[in-house]
Amino acid sequence: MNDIRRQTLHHLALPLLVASGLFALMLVGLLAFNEARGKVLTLVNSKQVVHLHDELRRHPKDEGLKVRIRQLDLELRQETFYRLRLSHNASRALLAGLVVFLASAHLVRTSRRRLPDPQAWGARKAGEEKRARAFAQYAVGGVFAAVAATAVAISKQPVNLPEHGPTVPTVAAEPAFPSVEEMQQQWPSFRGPNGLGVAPKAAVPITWNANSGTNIRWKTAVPLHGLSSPVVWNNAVFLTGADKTQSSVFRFDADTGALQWSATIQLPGGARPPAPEVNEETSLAAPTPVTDGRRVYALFPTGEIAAFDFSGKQVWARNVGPLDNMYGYAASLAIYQDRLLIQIDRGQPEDGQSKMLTLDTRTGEPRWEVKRDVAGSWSSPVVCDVNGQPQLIMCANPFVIAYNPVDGKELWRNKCLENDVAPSPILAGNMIIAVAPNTAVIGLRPGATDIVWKAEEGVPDATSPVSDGQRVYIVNSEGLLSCFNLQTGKVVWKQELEDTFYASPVIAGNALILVSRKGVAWVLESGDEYKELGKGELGEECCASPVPIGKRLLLRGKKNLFCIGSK
Amino acid sequence: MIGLLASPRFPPPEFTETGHQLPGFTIPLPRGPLLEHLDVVVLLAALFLAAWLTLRHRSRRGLVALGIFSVLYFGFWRKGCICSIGSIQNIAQGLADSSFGLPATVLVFGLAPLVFALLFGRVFCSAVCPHGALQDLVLIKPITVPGWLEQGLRLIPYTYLGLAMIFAATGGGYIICQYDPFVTLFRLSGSVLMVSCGIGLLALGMFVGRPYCRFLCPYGALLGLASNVSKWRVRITPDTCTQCRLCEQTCPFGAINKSTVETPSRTVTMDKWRLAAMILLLPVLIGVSGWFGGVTGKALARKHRTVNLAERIFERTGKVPDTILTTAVFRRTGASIESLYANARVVRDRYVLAGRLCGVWIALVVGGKLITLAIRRKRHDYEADQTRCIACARCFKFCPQELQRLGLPIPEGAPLMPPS
Repeated sequence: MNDIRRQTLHHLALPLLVASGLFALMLVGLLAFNEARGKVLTLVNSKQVVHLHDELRRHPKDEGLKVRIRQLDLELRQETFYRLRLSHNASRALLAGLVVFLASAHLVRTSRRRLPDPQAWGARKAGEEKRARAFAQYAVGGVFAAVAATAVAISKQPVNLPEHGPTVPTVAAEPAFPSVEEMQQQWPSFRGPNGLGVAPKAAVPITWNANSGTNIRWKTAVPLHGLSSPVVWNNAVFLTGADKTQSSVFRFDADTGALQWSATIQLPGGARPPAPEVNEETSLAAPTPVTDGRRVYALFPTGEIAAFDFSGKQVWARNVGPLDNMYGYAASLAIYQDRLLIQIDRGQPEDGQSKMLTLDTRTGEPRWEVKRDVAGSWSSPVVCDVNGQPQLIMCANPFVIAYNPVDGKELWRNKCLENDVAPSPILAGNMIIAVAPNTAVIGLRPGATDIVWKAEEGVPDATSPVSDGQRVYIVNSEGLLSCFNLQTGKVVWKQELEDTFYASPVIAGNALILVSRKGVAWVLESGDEYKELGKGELGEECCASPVPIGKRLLLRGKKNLFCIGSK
Repeated sequence: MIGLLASPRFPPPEFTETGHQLPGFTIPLPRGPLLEHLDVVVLLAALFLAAWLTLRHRSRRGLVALGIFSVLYFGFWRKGCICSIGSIQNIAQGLADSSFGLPATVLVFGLAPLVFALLFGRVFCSAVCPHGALQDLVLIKPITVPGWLEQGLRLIPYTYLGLAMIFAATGGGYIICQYDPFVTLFRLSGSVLMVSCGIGLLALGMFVGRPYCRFLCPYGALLGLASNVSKWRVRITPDTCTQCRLCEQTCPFGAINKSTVETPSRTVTMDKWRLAAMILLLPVLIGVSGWFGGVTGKALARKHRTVNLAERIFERTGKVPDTILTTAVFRRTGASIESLYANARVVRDRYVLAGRLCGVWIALVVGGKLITLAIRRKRHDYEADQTRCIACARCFKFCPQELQRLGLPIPEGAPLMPPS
């Protein structure tokens, strides 16, 4: 750059530098003034507002006073927003001013830049590095001393806590979530551990009659209606119920059937979301709750979800709604470790309303959420172990999708479903069994895109399949019970039961248990032939899935909860 | 268009009856997945470009342009979040807490500049970090910080790094983000204190080159350590150093090591004694500092919400009255106070352990620095200090060899060959 250009640049940039600098300084002053003003003139700090409120307490019917308070409130709010706008605009103008200031400052500096003249600095002296290093060591020591002094000042105020009492926290002593083995011994969720509907060690009665009391251990009225199934943890049986005004969770004693507590969800803020319109056959309490032995978690079609401890105290609650879909929301909760898994499928795939939501079981805070390109569904998610890897399987038109329940990452998907999907999937013998309602029962390998088999007879629209490891049993709404070979999908046998079914079948030991809508139960031997072991009579309608646990079978009727077992 | 893909995880409530409008967010919303991936791509591209501009093209202008882009993109558009500096806290928490989900984007933001530092030096600091680039742009008339003061103050980032790791790993919070002086400027909103700190640092930065990067930035400390072993390094001269001294005072960051002047033999002997003393001092320093770190950690545990709540609940001390909302809320939940105390003791013990580790870390840094300073190094050429050099390329055009390479006029009397 020649000297003339440098001088020209200098003469142009210098006034710009001064002007932009003054402009920036002025705006800094304005912002500081605006900020200071904001400290005084706020609704919270206003002495006048406080005074007027005091007056109002003394004269609560003074309408003129109320008008003045409202007027003052409005003025202060308008003032606040004006101040915020001013601050917003001034900071942008300041930014622009600073850009000009910096650019012109660089131009001024560049126009005066000269190469250094080392000769003017004189020759370097021997020993200067040693001195510099010695000084640097002192400086390092000095900074270390300053850090140490700060640490001393901080450590003079140690945390003051009582040292006696349990050395291990009572909460921490119990892991945040139960082990897989613990879960297997309970009936913690819809259709039991892993949603299989199987209790291999259970040995339940094969006949019962609620009218005569045969093998009825106890029978207790359920305070509120619902189609959800019971879940069990040791001696606690949990059930949900709801009406237009409340969504509640009940705990019953497994031995006596006594209602131990009833708790209604209280959302923060108190207001309950409006209850959506649902089919009578779905009810306002269709999703089955889930428990991890620490708390019980319940979700309702209103969008309310809450955790209660075993004493009935609400731990947390939130609204995950809206959950409106045709017929009414029915997907049950699933759980994996300390994550609560919620399948919310609504509308059509292109609506973008379907998703998978995960909450922290301890706090109810969201952990992750995954959008799902599927239509509304009524199927429940299941978590199962596929070759040592946990997979969260979900069904909805048109996909069976598996996710990693830890982080929500999609593992695989298979486009094989159609219609309104309500049956839940199961994993049996390394085979996923899914149902496309009224169309096909499908067997597929986890992770594979190919369908292993497809059966098109006796396909249900509401009930879920169950497997004994060799065969798959399916009953459709019209009462056609079909037994398929698990690996090939070939029909082993079929039987018309001449009744209607909404409750999904379960297997207890070697007994296949089916309960019709009228409350009539069939207890069959699981095997290659149709063989009836016994029958049960509940005496009232039943749409909830049976719960076999130990030597008892829990059944939710329309009005009562029954425990089938010897007294 | 892409911005539309970013949305809150949960839709806000709609006040259909009253028509109330929720006020806008003052902190940036989570970014949509596409934008997160775009951020990673831009970061990696910027790192590659910075490395090329510094080591291959040797272009200061290119770096200034990239710096402006970084300030606009990573700073003003992305609102400074997430940034590589803060991401090390997420990584620390992820390492300490197995239940903590560490997003892949955050991991890349934390590790990519470190990997680049291992290969090419601190190219991230040169023009990719919006904090550094912003300070670089405001530097108008640099003054030289005395070398001894520079050496002392450069310990602060290592201490800050240790503290940040304590708090992140124990769940006490992300202090690097809480006390980030520039993020409030990028967002044009924030507390008066932090806005003032940001403006103050920028005002200081007009005369002292990159004060935050040199004397505070914990990530810069990590990058400095990594760049010490970098495979490809910044060189002031593209050819052979002629020791013309033209570059001697050009670095506003004190990152040029001069060639050594011959040292008398007595001094060499004294240096050996000093070195031996420093090496012997190191284990003592580690022991004392580690113990003291534990004591300090016990006090720092108060920053954790559980410990803070437990201490407030513990009224018998009479020092902390139970008058705040959090304690009142806790009492209403009916949760066990004994359990709270026990949890707080567990957290406090974690802080003690983390404090000890931090004490050992600081002792290693201080001891290492003292030992390094006790070692006399022979240096023939003027070189960029591998730890401190932030690869800004300012010094390049002061080298006659570089001017010759570019075909620019060479200052009168500047030697083009090294003295024999």
